[in-house]
Amino acid sequence: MARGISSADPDDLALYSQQGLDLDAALQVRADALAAAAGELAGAGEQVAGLSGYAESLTDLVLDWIHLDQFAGRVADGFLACAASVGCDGTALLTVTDADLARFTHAGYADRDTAIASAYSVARAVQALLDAPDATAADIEAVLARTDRGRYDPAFAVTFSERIGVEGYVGLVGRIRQTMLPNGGDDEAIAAVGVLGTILTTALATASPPGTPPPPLGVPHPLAIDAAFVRDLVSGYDTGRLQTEPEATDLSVLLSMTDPPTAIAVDIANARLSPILYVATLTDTPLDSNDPAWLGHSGVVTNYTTMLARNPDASAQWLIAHPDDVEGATNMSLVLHQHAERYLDDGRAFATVVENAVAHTNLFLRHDSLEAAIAVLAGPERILDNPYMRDALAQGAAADMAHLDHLTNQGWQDTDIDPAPTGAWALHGFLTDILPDESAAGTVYGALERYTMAQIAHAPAPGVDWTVGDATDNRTEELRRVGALQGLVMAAEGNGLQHDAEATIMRQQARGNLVDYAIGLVPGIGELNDIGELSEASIGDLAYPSGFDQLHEAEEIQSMRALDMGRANLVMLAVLAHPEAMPPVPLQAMSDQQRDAFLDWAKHNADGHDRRTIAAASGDAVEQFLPG
Amino acid sequence: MPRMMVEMPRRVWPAAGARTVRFPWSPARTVVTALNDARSTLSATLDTRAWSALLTTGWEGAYRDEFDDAYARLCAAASDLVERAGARAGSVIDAADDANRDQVRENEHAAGLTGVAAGPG
Repeated sequence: MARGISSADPDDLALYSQQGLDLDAALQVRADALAAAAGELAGAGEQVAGLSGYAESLTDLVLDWIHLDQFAGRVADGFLACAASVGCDGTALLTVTDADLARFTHAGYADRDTAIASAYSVARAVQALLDAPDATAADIEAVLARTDRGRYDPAFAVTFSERIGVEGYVGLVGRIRQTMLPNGGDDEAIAAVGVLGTILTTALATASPPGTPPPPLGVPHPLAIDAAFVRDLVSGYDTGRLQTEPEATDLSVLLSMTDPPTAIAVDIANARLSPILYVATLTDTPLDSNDPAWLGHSGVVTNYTTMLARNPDASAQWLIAHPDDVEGATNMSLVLHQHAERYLDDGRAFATVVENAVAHTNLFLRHDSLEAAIAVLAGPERILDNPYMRDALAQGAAADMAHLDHLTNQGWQDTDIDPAPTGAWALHGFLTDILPDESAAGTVYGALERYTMAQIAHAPAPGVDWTVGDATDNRTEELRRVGALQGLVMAAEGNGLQHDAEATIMRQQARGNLVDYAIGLVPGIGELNDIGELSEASIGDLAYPSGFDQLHEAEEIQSMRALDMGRANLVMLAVLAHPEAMPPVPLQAMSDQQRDAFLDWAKHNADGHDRRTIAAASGDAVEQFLPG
Repeated sequence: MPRMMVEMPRRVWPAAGARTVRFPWSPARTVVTALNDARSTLSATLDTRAWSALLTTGWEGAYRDEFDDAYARLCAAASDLVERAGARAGSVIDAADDANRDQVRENEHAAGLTGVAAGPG
């Protein structure tokens, strides 16, 4: 093979790596057992010459094998990435230049001993750098360049991190601030910190997950980063007082460039972010922008939140956690009470963290996060002061429409007689806060349409009644529930808009498109159209022609919304009952006459009882929640 | 040749009236078992890796060279540990044998005092 050229069958190499790691796992069990037994024997007072050294050598060998097999796996990944970049799969022998392979590979070192030796050497260079008062930007860059091979190598990253400690990391970031920022600007400086962030992320990825039992006596776990380092990083290392000590910013800049494991990210946020957010709820002083030397990255809160926002699990777990010393509050409460204009990113990172949580793929995390948000916004007062937060929360509402249904209807049997239950009022308060935002309203109404469609499609047939002792069949009950949810949403929007003078006619016209969208989701027929493709001319326009430019009264908006929902229900009921009668041309391509004809058809083919049931429950709910 | 699988000697129990020679028999047995297990797993690992290496026949280049250097070092280290496992187990067994010899002496001493013979338990 010519110099500078590499070849491999990536699939074979990946298989080799995996088989090796399986062997390593078996050998590790033996090594751990021997280390524990040797420790127990020594603890019993019997010193056998060379035994503990032998056990250590075996453990060391296992770690070396793991490191080598992971190296082979990373090289295989590099070959696969090379193959993918030219449109190939990994099933054949692939030949590439070493330079190309290096671009796609974070291979680290093959030999763990070499990685560790390199880490020691670079750590010494860092220490020398910190001790040298006249270190230049070039000196720093030269040292960081020496980490090129080791950044993604666990053995290098763990050794380097433990050698320099959190203090060393912060010190080096401080040196970068002092030396590189004034001359090179924050791009170069942030790139330099990014190198440290990559090493730290690699090292933290080796941390033992929480709940891992401590190893038996004498069994070392040198693959994992020292727990003392993690404790320091989470809370032990004192950065000094915010807004007076630059180290407070330096650590946050470093962490903003990391993606720690979930448990560590949550702990860092609880220890270093929550207290600042709590103080921010008590004072009018902006607390984000700290040492201005960091220019666009001087926001301590924004930096920590940026770290958190990379991890959806950590976002959710942190938001539903109760911060220390803040009785009864969740971190969700602290975040939703923040004033966005105080933060360097205008609250974007907060919104990302919240959206991560309320729209999480895990049902329980999503549900708990939404519950936490509803608990904060349930009251009549308007809390949100972040232009990005409403849309984030709307994603959560859209992702959990069944829970919104539950909150609305739990304990609310007769919408025309009974008062709305507590859960419904809490949901109303929540939606009142978020629905005045046009984008948020679009998200929630879109989900509401889809949910309504699904509920109608899956409702029991008329006359079916499994509930003993009541006078209505199950279909009617189901449609009432949907109607009540629709009414609550419309009332919440109307009430929210009363507080929002910026509602415009544009969003009303957008609502008209929902009718089209609902038609596009007919089960068995598929999406006949797409809301994104709809032109302004649509069935919605028939219901809402232009001319509402001066419309700012919430009552009128709410009334128009009721019309819109009513018409959507009508069309949904008709097309679900008669899917064969769907129009042959896309709705946006219909002429006015065709649209009129279709709506007329829907009026005559929707079940009148179903339509009236939904409308009655919706009207009852609107009446309950609208003032007066 | 490495020492083959080794076993702990049977313990000589103290005779009636004899002083008990202290030795951690249970941990010692666990160590010998662990050494035997480690040795056999190491041997199996080396054999299996020799076969698995067929999967890497097409792998060439700078990373492969680096891999080969490390691989050779680890195989040598593993072989060395296989060799030394028997010796380490032997050290534990020698210590157990010493304890048994001491116990026999203690038992004989007690038997001499009382006229009762003692033997392996």
